[in-house]
Amino acid sequence: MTFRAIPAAFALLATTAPVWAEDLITRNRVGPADAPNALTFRLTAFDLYSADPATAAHFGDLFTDFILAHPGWRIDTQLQTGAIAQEQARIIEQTRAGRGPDCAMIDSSQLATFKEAGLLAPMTPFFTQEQIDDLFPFVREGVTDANGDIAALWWFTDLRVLYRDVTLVPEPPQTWADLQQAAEVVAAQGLEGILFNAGRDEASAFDWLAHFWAQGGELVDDTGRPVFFEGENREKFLSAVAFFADLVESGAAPRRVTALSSYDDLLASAVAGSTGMFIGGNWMYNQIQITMPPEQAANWAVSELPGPTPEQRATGTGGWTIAALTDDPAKTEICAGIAQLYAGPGNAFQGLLPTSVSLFEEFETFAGPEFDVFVSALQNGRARPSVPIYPEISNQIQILLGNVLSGSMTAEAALDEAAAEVMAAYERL
Amino acid sequence: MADVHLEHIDKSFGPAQVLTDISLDIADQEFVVLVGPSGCGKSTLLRLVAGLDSVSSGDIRFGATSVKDLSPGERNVAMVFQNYALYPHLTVAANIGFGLRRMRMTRQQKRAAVLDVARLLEIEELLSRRPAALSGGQRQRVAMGRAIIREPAVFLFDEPLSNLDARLRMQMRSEIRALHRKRPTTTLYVTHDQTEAMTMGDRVVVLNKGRIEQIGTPSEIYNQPRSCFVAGFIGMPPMNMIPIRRSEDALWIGAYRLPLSDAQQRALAGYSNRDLILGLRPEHLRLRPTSGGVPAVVDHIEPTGSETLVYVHHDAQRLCLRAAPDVAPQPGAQVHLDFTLERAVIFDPETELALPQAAAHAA
Amino acid sequence: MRPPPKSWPPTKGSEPLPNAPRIAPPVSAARPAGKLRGARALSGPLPWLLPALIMLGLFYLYPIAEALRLAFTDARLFDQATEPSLDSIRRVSQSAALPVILQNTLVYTVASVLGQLGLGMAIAILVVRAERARLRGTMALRTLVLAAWVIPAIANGVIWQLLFSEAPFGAINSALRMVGFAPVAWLSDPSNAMLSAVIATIWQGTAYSMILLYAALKSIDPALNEAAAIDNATGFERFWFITLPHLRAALLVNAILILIMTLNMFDTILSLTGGGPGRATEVLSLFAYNTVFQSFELGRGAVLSILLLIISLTLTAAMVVFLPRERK
Repeated sequence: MTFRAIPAAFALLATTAPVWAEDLITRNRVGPADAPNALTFRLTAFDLYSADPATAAHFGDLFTDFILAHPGWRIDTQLQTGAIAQEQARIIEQTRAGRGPDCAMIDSSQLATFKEAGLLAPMTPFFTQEQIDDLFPFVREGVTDANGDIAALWWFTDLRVLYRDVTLVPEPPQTWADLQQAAEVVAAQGLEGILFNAGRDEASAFDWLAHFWAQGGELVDDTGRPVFFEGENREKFLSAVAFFADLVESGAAPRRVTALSSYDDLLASAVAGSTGMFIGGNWMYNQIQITMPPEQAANWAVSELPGPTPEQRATGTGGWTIAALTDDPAKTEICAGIAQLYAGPGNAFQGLLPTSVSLFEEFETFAGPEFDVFVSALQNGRARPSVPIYPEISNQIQILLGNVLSGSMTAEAALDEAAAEVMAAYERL
Repeated sequence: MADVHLEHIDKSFGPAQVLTDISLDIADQEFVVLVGPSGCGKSTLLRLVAGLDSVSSGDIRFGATSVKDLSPGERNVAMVFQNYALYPHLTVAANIGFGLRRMRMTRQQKRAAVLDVARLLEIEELLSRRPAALSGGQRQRVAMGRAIIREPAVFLFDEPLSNLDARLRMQMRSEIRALHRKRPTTTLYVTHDQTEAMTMGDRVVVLNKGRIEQIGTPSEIYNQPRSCFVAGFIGMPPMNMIPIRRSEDALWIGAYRLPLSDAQQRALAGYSNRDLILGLRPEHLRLRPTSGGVPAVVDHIEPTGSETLVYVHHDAQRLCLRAAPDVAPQPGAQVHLDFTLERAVIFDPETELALPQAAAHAA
Repeated sequence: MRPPPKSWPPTKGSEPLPNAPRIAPPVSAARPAGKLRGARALSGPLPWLLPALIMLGLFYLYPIAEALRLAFTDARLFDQATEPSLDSIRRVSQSAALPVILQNTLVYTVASVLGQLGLGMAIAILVVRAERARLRGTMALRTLVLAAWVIPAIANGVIWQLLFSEAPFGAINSALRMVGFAPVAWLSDPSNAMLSAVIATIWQGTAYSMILLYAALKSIDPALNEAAAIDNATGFERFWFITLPHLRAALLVNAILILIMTLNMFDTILSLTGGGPGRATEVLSLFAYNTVFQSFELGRGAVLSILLLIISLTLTAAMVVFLPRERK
């Protein structure tokens, strides 16, 4: 064990280079070990403990400043793995058993479950009304609980956009028909026209939902009851499915989309130059700049997802929140402080999209032309409904997409089956 | 039915040379025993004849046909293994009949053949049992039954009796011989047990370190060992090997003179004034009732009932002799020895080979 | 040791055996007898089995009992306080997905188990033969096959996902194209996806069955094969009459273990296809996993787990019947 610990220790020293910081940031702690007050914080491995030394160092500095400004406190850090659904379920289980963290990063799509379970401590006192009003509408709605309190800080958001190789698709497609036509042109050259996730993963359902939402479709009604399979929603649902199915049938998109369930697969195809377009997350813009040689990256442009008509647009917005799971107001305050640290300077460093307009203006990071596209698309942003039935709806959409796009089922039959499964689950709630 | 010819066979496993220049002709229906210490290559030689291993160079012929490139099945040999190698999940009948699978026989004929063999080996009542339910001797018989049912050209035994107790071994020795008389088949029998070699073989082949030391009838091997190795390996207790010096008309053991007859002097012509080795079987040394001869001191005695083995020493030379059962000198007692030089074999200490002295025995 | 005489204690007048214990006076008789009984209880099998029983109970029986309890509730992962109900069982049995899932499980399990047994046996025989022929590299081959086994199932799924990738640069498809074959829709076509899942599973599980069968093959007396060769048996006959009967027990035990492992295998599929496209590769264990961790339906997940347990137990019991008995 010792010989393994040594390189790890060196790596740690390297990431926490300033002499005084060595004691303040370790693998499981921020702040002096003997501080009288401790807060447990469960975070993902992308910032303070990032594999990228620069990111880790920057967040190290941010946390150091933070902990020096809060004498007497220590943050005990706990990492969560990339298995999001499981990790979030674990947090709920542990919190119920009294062993949960005081403060945790929660996926925005899981926030409803946490709110429903009544586990989140109100953070309202620690924000100004101005700050709250400044949040994007879908964000404010998402973090507000039944009592009208702010239950979490949605510290960054993301959205789905259309990426295209301008040498193959010079103009951004504005409608579904434009997109299919452009993709067919690319496909005729022996490349893949357009790629999107349609495998068994949340990303597939979420990316597709934008097309349902663009028509004004609703997954659930005001009471939280699933309605996507009824009335007008049914038509909208089927036409969004037909949009994807037509892309596959016409050869504009390859059949293999049903095996795609990771944005990394899409990026790989873009880097290989084998696809003309793909539907991806906004964060992939940065990945493209890093992964591709500059002259190739320059060919890739971003635009809002097309709709059935140029006016009907939507994009799914996600991101992460930080919430307090403690009864102790002092701890909640620290947690809110950490959240703000991530929401402002943290995002500015990582290039993640802030959740309020003022932050876009505050930091220079967000000056690039792509952010104009993102901010404008965010006006059409739709978050996943904050209802506990959503995971099951998503699950059924993933199955439906696979069944329809692989030709195993008609869209109608698949929708009926999905509706039956979702309603059976809903009855239990 | 076949005569077997091994011609200049070499066999090596990687860098290890196991057999060197083995040539042997076996007559049809002859029973030949291969004997030697462990590691001498006798089992390897048997496996070469069986076709389980292939020769590195040389040829094996059954009759006029070279079989060196044939598979074991094509050679039409049968083999009895040291651990019998019975198929444990098959009955005795199925074990015996296994080799008939591909013969053009009706099921009835096959059953009759199995029964026939079982009768011959007196194991009829065991036919429906499985090998695990048999005693060692019974397994031995089944293994032989499996071999003889196919009426092979050559019968191969690989130390077949070494897993049996002494009594059963003695019984099986004679049964195998009896079987050979009833079903005469060319047989190659490997053993490390010199008693089996002496009692069973028409001829015995003594192997040492991958080479043939001597081929001969049991009596030739015993009485006229061709080398010090054979003299020491065959015979229980082994031949006494006594360093001597030859003068014109006598042999000298230290200061004691053993006079040579005229015939012996002629046979040893050309070896005057040389150091030689006198090989003498224990039965050819005698206790002398009166003084004279070569003096020796008794170390210990081994009465076996039918005879008494007396171990003595003369100076540093240890000797063994056979005496009548009622002779029982006390350890430490001074005795006097008579040498029956007519039966002695003289070896050259440099080559360790026997000197040509057939005449001496004729006497 | 000599058995005690029939009339024990010895009759009056007869001399007691030198070492025989004297008959204790009646007053103190009770205590030694009690001690003796206690000692006998301690020396029985129970004290030796107790630690194992406690561990089994704690780590096996308790979870099973808990799953059984949950199966009779409609508990959700975040809402476990529920009344007893048959709701979960009703919903599982009425689910339109269940027949598809069970069919997938059947196809996947049968194909994977047969493949792992067959390939494991083939490699084991190859290694044993190569060792007998004193060929070089058998150690390397064994190690290589084992390497597949020590890879975590999730990673195995990821590796095969890369290999099966249908992107123009996908590994297997690129190779196929190079030798002039059309690329295959390994993962996006529903029936191919099942085949791919089976291949990935076989690739990983083969090592395990190879080790078991290798050990069994090594224990076969080589003289048996030689005896059969001398009895003019062909290679196939030797395999059929000698090797296979000897492997029967190993094959059955192997089959049972692989069957259970395969039935419970969901991580490889999870990372390979996630159960898709649609439900094309969703097997029972993955379905149970998804039900609990995607849909948070603890009660239904418990029902599915119990169903999996019943299937495993039934099949195992059926196969144990065929296990060769000890023969006298």
